[in-house]
Amino acid sequence: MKPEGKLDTRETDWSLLERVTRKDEAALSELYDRYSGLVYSEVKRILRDSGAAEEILQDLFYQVWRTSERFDASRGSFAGWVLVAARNRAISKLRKKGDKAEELENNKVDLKANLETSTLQSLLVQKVRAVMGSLPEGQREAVEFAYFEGMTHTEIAEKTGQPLGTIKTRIRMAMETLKKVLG
Amino acid sequence: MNDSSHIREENLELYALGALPEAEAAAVKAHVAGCGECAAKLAEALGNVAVLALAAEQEKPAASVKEKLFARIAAERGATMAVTQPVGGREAVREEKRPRDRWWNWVLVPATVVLAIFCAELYRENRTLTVEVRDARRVAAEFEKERLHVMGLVNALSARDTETIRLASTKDGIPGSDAVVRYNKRLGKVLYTAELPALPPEKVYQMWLVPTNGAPISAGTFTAVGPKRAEPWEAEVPANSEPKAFAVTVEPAGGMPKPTGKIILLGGG
Repeated sequence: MKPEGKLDTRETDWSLLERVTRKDEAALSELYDRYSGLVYSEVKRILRDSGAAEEILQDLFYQVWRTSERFDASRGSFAGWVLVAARNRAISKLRKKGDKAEELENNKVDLKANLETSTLQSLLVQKVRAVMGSLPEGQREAVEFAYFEGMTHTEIAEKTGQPLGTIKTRIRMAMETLKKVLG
Repeated sequence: MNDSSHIREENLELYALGALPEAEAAAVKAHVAGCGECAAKLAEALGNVAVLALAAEQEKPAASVKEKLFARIAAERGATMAVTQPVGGREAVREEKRPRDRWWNWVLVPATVVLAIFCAELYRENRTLTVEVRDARRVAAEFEKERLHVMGLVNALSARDTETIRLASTKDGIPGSDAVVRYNKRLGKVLYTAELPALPPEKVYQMWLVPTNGAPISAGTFTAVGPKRAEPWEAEVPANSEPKAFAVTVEPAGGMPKPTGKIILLGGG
C-alpha cells in the first residue's frame, strides 16, 4: 500500500496527527518514518526479540491510526508519548504485567528535545549514548536495569547486592547527569 | 515519600522509570491524579526518562512491518466500505449517476463482504496463535531459568567445600533467634536462612560479611518472620574479600552502607 498525498517535510507532529485524524495515510506514513526506528530499537533492546518488537511497533502505530483524535497538545510531546507507550508495552510483555502499560500511557509527557528529523535524532542518540558511557558503572547499571529490564529499585538492590538507598542514589545521580548534559 | 504535601522529584522520576514497587507506585498515581503541580512535574520526569530510549543500539525495522501496518489499515477500510455499500438513501441516489448495475455486482458485493470478513478473521486468528506460541516459549524459558537458578543453589548448598556457620544471638540480640550461613569461597556465594521475629515496617535485618581487614560488607537485607523459610537468601562475596565472620544488625528500611545498629546475631571467626 503506497499512501497518497503531498507531504510538507516541515510539518510538526501535531499537524501530521491532525491529518491522521482525517484518515490521511500519507501523514501516518510520515509519522511512522519519523519514529519507527527509535521505537523499534527501544523495544528490541527490552525484549531482545525482533518479532515481538515488530509486533509492538505495528500495534502502536495502528492505535495512533485508530485513536489519533485522542492526541492533542495537552498530551505533551508525541515523540515522548510514543517512546513511553512503546516501553510500557514492552515491559508489560517482558514481565507479564498487563496493567502496567496503561499506567503511564495516559500521562502527559514533556520531552524537551525535538526529534522531528533524523538529524536531530542522530545528534541526541550520540549525546545520550555518550552520557551513558561516561556514567560510573553502578549508576549506568541501575538506570539500565530499571529502564530496559523494568526492575524496581528493590529488585535492583537484590540483584546487585547493594542497599536500597545506594540504588536510589545511583538512579538519582544518573538522571541528574543526564538532565544536566541534555538540558 | 511526601514532604509536606507533594511527591518528591526523585520519587516522581522513579515512578516514571517504573522503578517503584507496586504499593508506592499506587500512592504516587493516586496523588498525581489530584495534584496539578505534581502531574506537571511527572510529565517532565516522563520526558527526561523517555530520553533513555535513545541509549539503545539504533536499528531500522524491516520494511515489511510498515507494509503490514498499511495492509491492516486497508483491510479495515475495505471491510468497512464493503459492509456499508448496500445502504440506501443518499448513497442509493448517487448510485443512479454511475453506469447501470451489472448482474454480477449482486454476486460480487456479498462475496467481497464475506471474503473481507473471512480474511479479517484469519488475520486475527493468526495473530492470536503467534502471540500464544511466543508466550509459551517465553514461559518455557522462564522455567528453564528458574530451574538453573535452583540447581545453582542446590550445588552451592551441597558442595563439599561449603562451610556452615551458625550465628547465635549476642547480648544485644533476641533470645531464641538464630541464623545459618552457608559460605562457599570457591563459588563466592553466601546463602543464609534466619529465624527472627517480625520488625516494624521502617526496619529491616541486614546481613554483614565481616572481612579479616576492612569494613563489613552488606550481604543484603531481609525481613525474616519465623519459622525459617525454605528458600535461603543469597549474596555474592566481592572478589578479594574473605569473610572471617557473619553478623546481623537491625537497620532502617532499605539497608545501610555501613552497620549502624547493634549486632544481634554473630557467628564464625
